[in-house]
Amino acid sequence: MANLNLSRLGKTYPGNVIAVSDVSAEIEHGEFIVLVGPSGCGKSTILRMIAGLETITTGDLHIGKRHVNGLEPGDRDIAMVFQNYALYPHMTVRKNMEYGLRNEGLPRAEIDTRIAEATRTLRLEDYLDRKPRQLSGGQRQRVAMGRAIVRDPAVFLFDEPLSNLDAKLRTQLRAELKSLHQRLGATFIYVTHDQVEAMSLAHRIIIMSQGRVEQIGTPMDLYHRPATRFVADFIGTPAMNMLNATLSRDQASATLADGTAIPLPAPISRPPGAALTLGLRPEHLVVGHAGPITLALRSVFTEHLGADTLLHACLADSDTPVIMRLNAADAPAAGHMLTASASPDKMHLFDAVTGARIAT
Amino acid sequence: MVENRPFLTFLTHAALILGVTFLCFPVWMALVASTHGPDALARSPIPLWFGDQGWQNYSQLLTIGLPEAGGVPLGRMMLNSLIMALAITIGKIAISIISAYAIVYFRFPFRMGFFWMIFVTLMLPVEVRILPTFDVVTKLGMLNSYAGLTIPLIASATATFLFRQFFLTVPDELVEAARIDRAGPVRFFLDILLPMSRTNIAALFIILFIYGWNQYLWPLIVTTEEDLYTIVMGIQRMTNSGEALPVWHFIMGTAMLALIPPVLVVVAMQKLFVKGLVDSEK
Amino acid sequence: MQKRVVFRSRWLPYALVAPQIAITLVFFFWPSYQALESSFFLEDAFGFSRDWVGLRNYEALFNDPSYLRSFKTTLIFGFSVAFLAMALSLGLAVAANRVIRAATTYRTLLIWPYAVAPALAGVIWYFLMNPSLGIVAYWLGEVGIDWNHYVNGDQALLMVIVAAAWKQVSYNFLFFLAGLQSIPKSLIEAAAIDRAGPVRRFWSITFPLLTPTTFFLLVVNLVYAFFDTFSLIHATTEGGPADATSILVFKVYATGFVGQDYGGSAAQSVILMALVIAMTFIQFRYVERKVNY
Repeated sequence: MANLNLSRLGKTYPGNVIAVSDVSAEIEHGEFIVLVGPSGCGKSTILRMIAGLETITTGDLHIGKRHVNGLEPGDRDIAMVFQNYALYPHMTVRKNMEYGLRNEGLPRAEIDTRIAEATRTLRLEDYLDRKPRQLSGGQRQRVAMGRAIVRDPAVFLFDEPLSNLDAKLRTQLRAELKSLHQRLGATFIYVTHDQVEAMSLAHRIIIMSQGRVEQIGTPMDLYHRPATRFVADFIGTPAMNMLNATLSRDQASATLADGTAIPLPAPISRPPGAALTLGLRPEHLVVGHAGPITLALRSVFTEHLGADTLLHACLADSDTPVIMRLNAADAPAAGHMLTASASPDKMHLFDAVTGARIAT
Repeated sequence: MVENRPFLTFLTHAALILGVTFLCFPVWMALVASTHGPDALARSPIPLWFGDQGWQNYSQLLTIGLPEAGGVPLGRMMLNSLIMALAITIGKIAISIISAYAIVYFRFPFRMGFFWMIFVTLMLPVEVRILPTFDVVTKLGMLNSYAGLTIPLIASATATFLFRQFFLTVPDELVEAARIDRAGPVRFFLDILLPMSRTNIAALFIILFIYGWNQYLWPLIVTTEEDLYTIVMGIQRMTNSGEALPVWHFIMGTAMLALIPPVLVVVAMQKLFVKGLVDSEK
Repeated sequence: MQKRVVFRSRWLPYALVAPQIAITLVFFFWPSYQALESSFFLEDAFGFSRDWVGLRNYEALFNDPSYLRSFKTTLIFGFSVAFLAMALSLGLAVAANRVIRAATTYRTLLIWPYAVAPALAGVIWYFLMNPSLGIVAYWLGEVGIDWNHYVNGDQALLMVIVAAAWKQVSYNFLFFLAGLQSIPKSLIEAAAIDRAGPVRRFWSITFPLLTPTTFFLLVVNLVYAFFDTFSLIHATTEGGPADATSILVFKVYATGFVGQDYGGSAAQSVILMALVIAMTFIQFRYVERKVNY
């Protein structure tokens, strides 16, 4: 069974452009791994190095027991689904799916069995003789998945496969993907820039920024214990509120620019005056004086989303934005002053200079 | 249209009809003249409507030819023209598509050097360097052969650029998908790229066929054997005799036979023709 | 310029470009080099002797009044053909762009002459204008113009200009029509709302927006008139009467094949090649600019 071992992978393009550096990860067989990060963070490059479409500049890649750095994509026991589907436009759905198998030299009967199985799984029976241009976006993406499934690979690679679809279809296909993963039991490695997709699909997420891994962990790990300010900011919508503060003399509280004192969950061992970033998620703020953390806010506007309401506000004495997730009834009108409270144990602490999480 | 002005519409159609007349009238006259005997054409003004000698004129041209112009049947000349046009067209497409494939899909030393070598030939018509090219073909012993007639005209910068342009628009992911599907460069070319290029090949085929069929100077100087005469150059031998003898009805018949095949191709495959013409100039 | 992912092979790309490069080397570069080389030699008609003469062949050319006249003839011929063919086709394209009814029929009737070989175009017009039996010559006679291109050089030149332009109208028409169709309708409509009449709209909106097409066609038409019309002239006037229609590309041929002056013909080839390369360069610069729009 195939685990994947990425050991200090690096990719440098001509002209000394470093796309990826020093990425290590151990991926278990059957895991659903999502690589996530903003565009240009190197997530696609890693996927393409695993596929064999980019050469590996430094480091080693093992699929199962095999060292695959020098192998052709066709020999790596992988399949890939592309963002723009990459279906052969002149071939029918059936021809598209069987092309790889024919090149492999599989017997006709075996090919037919696999195609029949995949088309049943993906409900593509009615489209086998159509050309890609006669299909809708969602159907094309299913064919692309079918082409991957029939190869029966150890590892499936997905490069932003849902990005070209509309929101509704995306949600639907996300669910299908998840059940597909359960049925096939193979390893999935999935690249996306959409954190919602990452959270909903992954067993474990590898979150990247500027060619480096920021954190590897389960979605809940990333949400509750972000390792860096970058991760805290990237995971969760609306994003975590970030307040700049300095550590007080007693090391048990921090002071905002306007002088508000914020109690910390526990004293930290840093020199007084150290620059900190305090993070509070919108859903952890409530209206009222409950404390112990209280913030004076001025409301700017509200967004009613149905189930809940987002209040866009800012600190009373500055323009630092603060967003709260509320019940519709609690939302004050624009321009009103209000007080918001939070509990210190819901607060995340980061070093304002390095962005690293400060343990409390 | 923005507005409706009857007078302007009338003017528009009048201009178009005038233009069509200007373009069609000369060929109409040629067609009419080819159906008369020498006597009708000797009187002035010559008739504007068909005569009764058409069948006779064309059957003589096709089967016997014109004694004054070497006596080669025009059927033979048309066959030679067809062979030459097809050889040039197929040859150009074949060598251009593979060299464009190499230049776009491989990275290798001298790649840009080869690219520029092909590029500088872009607009160097054979007429400009006719004498030395003739010399080279003579030295290679290729005079009076189909090879000499066609091979020197087969290199094509235009076709290479067209295919290169098209290949650059083919998404990268297709190559990647093919590589994951275990297709090597040869297989990718034959199974994916070639079928995808069908429309471009067809469009280019029309343009190049016309180019090949209409060759004039080159066949004129590399062929001295009458068996290899092509019809477009053949007409030149006749105009020269046209001064001495009243054979205008035959000359115009020959002109009609020479222009009908390429004109038919253009009219029948208009859409592809327009695409080929516009694409190949980009 | 190139693909992100490329195939790896040590020999395959070379094998793929080999046929094209081989033919280019043998039939383009070798002859071009030979032309350049022999333009510095004086060779007798039988090829027995060859003397190095340096630039004397070029000197002789530019001291030869007939060569200089050929330059002038070429310019007159080229620009007249380009102007005539472009003006006619622009008018037709504007008209065709207006009509809805019978648009396809008009287009078909206007584009077919593209397929007619220049030699045939020449021969057909030669027939129409033949002083003794040509119908056009007859009509001209009726209105008092005495037409005889066998003796009148200006008339001969006019005839080949008309024949060459006639064949080129289709080509220009297609490109002008494509250019017109790519102008957004909303621009014309905006101008109409700004109270510009059809004529003003054409000159202030349509024509300026067609400039790239017009410039492109000008170069293409000049190249056509300078080089591709060889066969038209060879099949009809053969440069005459008295060299009145002897354009440069015809002179290369006449000097070499008829006059047997290899050095002189080679020097003319070199000059023409330089001209072609210059025009290619202009064209290329233009294409580049178009890309940057």
